[in-house]
Amino acid sequence: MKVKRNDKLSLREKLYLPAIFQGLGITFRNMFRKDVVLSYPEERWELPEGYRGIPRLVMGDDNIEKCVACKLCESVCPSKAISIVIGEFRDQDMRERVPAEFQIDIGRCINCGYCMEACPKEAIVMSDLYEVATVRREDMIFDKERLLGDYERYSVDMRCAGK
Amino acid sequence: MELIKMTYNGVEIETEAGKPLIDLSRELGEEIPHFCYHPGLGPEGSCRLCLVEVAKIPKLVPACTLTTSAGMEVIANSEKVIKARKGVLEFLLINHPLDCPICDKGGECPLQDNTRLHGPGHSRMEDDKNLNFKHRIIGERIIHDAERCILCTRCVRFQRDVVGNCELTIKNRGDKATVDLFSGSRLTGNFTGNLADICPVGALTSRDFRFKARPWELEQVESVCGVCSMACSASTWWLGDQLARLTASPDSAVNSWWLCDRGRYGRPSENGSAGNLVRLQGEQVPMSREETAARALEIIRQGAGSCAVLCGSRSTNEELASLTELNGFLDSPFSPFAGASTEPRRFLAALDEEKLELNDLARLGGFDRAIILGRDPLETHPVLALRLGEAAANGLAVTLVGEQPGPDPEGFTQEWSRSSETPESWLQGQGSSAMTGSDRLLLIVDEMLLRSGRLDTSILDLCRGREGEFSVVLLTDGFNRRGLMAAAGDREDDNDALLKALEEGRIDHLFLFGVEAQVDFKDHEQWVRALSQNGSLIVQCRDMKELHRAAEVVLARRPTLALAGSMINTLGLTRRLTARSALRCEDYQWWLPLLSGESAGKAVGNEG
Ligand code: SF4
Ligand code: SF4
Ligand code: FES
Repeated sequence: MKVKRNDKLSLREKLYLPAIFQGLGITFRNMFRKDVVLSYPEERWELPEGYRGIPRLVMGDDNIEKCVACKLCESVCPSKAISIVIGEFRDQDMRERVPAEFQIDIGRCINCGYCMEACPKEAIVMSDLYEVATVRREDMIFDKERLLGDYERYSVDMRCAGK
Repeated sequence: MELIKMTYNGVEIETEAGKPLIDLSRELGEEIPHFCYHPGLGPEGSCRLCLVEVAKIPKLVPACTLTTSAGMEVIANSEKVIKARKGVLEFLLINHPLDCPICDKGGECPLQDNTRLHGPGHSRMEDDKNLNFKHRIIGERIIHDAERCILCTRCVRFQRDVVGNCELTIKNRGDKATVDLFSGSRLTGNFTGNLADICPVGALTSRDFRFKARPWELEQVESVCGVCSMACSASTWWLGDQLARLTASPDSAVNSWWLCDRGRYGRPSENGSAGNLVRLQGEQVPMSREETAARALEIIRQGAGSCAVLCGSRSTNEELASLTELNGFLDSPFSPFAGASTEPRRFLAALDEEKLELNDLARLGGFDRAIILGRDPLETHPVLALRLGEAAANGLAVTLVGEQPGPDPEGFTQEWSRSSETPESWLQGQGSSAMTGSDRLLLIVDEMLLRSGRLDTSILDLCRGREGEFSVVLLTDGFNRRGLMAAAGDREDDNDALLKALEEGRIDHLFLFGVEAQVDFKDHEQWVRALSQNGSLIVQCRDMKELHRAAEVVLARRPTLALAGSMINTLGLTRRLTARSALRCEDYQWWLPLLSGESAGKAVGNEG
C-alpha cells in the first residue's frame, strides 16, 4: 500500500520546541489540581446515587423476605442468572407463598437492574456492592440467606476466600 | 343452517342465523371480551363485559345472549362500547385483590388480559377492599380463593348443568356475594378439575398444580389423555422433562370441553418404569439402553423359531405395525395381539359394514333413547357418562343395564334408569320392548360382554328388527384396544394357543411390549403364572411389575403421555399422541435392525 505522507511541515512544526512546551504546560497545570486516582482498596470510591451493584433481596417488616416467588425477575433476567423454587409458607394466613430457594449467579448477573424494575413487591433491589471477585465459581452463586444477609460481611469473606 | 346477511363493525358479512354474537366475533378474529359466557356452558349474561351496540336497540346489549339474525347491525368497537367495557372492568376490580404475583392463574388469566386490553388502567376506589376467605380447600382437587372471584357463575353452572349435582351456589348478595358449597359438604365427583380450567380468574385453582410453575415456563403440547380408551383431547404442559399438568382441549366429537379427574390427575406416566435391566448370572443389572438392546437382539437372534411377540393395548398403531412385522420375521404362528378377541372384532366388522357406529358425540342430541349394556360408563369411561348425562338433561332417556351398576353419586345419573338384571336376561325380557319404543336408538355395548362370550353380534339383529334408525358404540377396555383389533384384522385367534404353548413350555423367548395385564389378559393370574415359568422374557411395558423381576431383559418404556404416534379410540376415531418435542427418548424400537437386516451396532440411536 502506498501511504501519502505530508512531507511539507511548516517551520513551527519543524522546530519541535513549541509542541514540547505545550505538553509540559499541560503537565504543570495538572500538578496543582486535586488528585483523582484512588489508592484502592485502602481508599474507597464514593458511589453515586442509583449506582447498580449486585442485586439483593429485601427483608419485610415481619422478618420474612418480601419476595413472593412470582418469578417475574427470573423471567425478565436477560442473562438467566436467577433461579427460584416456589414454596408454600407454613402459616398460610400470614403469607401464602415464599421462595423455597432463591439463587442468583452473580457471575452471570450483568447488573442491568431489570429484576428490580420487574418486581411487584420491591423485594429485590440493586445493592451498592461491586466487589464480587472470588477464586471459586461456586462462591458466585448466592443463595437466599446470602442475598438477604449483610453484604459487607460477605464481601470481606469473599476477599478472603481461597486463602 | 340458514345463511343470513348482517353487518358487523360496518362490514357486511354472511353467517348462520341463531349464533351467539361472541362466537361470531371469535370466528371473525376480533373476539368480544367476556367472562361469564363459555361455549361449553352457554350464555348467562351476568358479567356485562360483552356489551355491544346494536342498531335500533337504544341501550347496549350483551353479545353472549344475543344471537345473529338477518339485517342485524352490530357495532362492537364504538366509543360507547369501549367506555362500557372500561366501566365494567373497573367495577370488577373494586374488590379483586390483584394478588397476581402469588396467583397460579397469573400469566394465563382472562381477567389480566382483558384488563390490560380493555381496562381503564387505574382505579378510583379509595375505600378498602372487601376481605373474604382465601386458599380454602373445597374438594380433594380444588382450592378456592373467594377474594379473587368475579361471580361469573361459570363454576355454579358447570356443576348444575354439566355434572348435574348442584354442589356450588352463590351465597349472599351485593358485594358480600360469594361462591360457596352447601353447608357441610365438599366438592365430590370425578369432574372437579374442570373448575380450574373454566374459572376465568384464580378463584378456583388446582391443588395439584398449586405453586408448581408459572404458565409461561411451560411448554404446551396438544395431545390426548392417556388413561381410558376415550382418549379425550387434552393439552399436556411440560416443565422441562416433567409433565406439570393436563388441561382439557375443546373437541365436540369426544370430550366437549371437559376431562375427568382420573385422566387429569391419575396420569399413567407417574407409575415409573424399571429402566434398562439385563440379567447377568442370575442378577438383574442396570445397563445403558444400547447394551440392553444389544442383549435383547442377541436373545431374539438365537431363539428364532421358538420366539413369540405379544403386544398390548398400550402400544401405538405404528408400534403395532412394526411388531407385526417382527412377529412374521420370527416365524411365530401365534397372534401377537394381546386382548384382541374375535367376537368384538366380528361385532366391529358388522358395524363397519352397515355404518352403524356413532363416532361423533356431538350427535348425541339426535337420539331419544340410549341403552347401555354392561358396566357403568361413569366407572369405565367417565367423560362419556358426563356427555350422556348432559344429553339426558335435554331429554335423552338413558337406561343402564348391568348387574353391578356403580354407586350412583348423588344427582349425577339420577335421570338414568338402572336395571340390575344381567344384560342377557334383560334383552330377553323387557329389553325388546324398550328397544322398539324409540325412534332413534343408541346402543352402547361393553366390550367385556362380547369378550367373555355372554353376548354376541346377534344383538344387532334385535335392533335391526325394530323400526327407526339406530347407532352403536362399543366401549373398549385398554387404551389402544381398537388399534390392536384393527391390526389383528379377522385372524381367528384369541391368544389361547399362545397361552397353551407357554404352559407347555414350547416357547423359549417371549417379547412383551406395551401390555397392560389387567385389561389385556382374560385371566390375568393364569398368564402371569405361565409367563413367569417361561425361559426368557423380554419385557418393555410400564405395567406388569410382577414380571419385571422374572425377566431376562427389561427395557425402558415411556409413559403413554410421552409417546408419539396414533391410536384409535373407543369411538373409532384415529387420535394423535404428541409428545414434547425435545423429550429425552429412553425407549426405542430396538428390533428395527432385524427387520431391515442391518447390524445391531447400527441400530443404536434408532429413535422410537
Ligand atoms: S420479582 Fe420480586 S417478588 Fe417476584 S420473584 Fe423476583 S424478587 Fe420475588
Ligand atoms: S369462582 Fe371462578 S368460575 Fe366461579 S363464579 Fe367465581 S370467578 Fe366465576
Ligand atoms: S359474557 Fe355476556 S354478560 Fe358475561
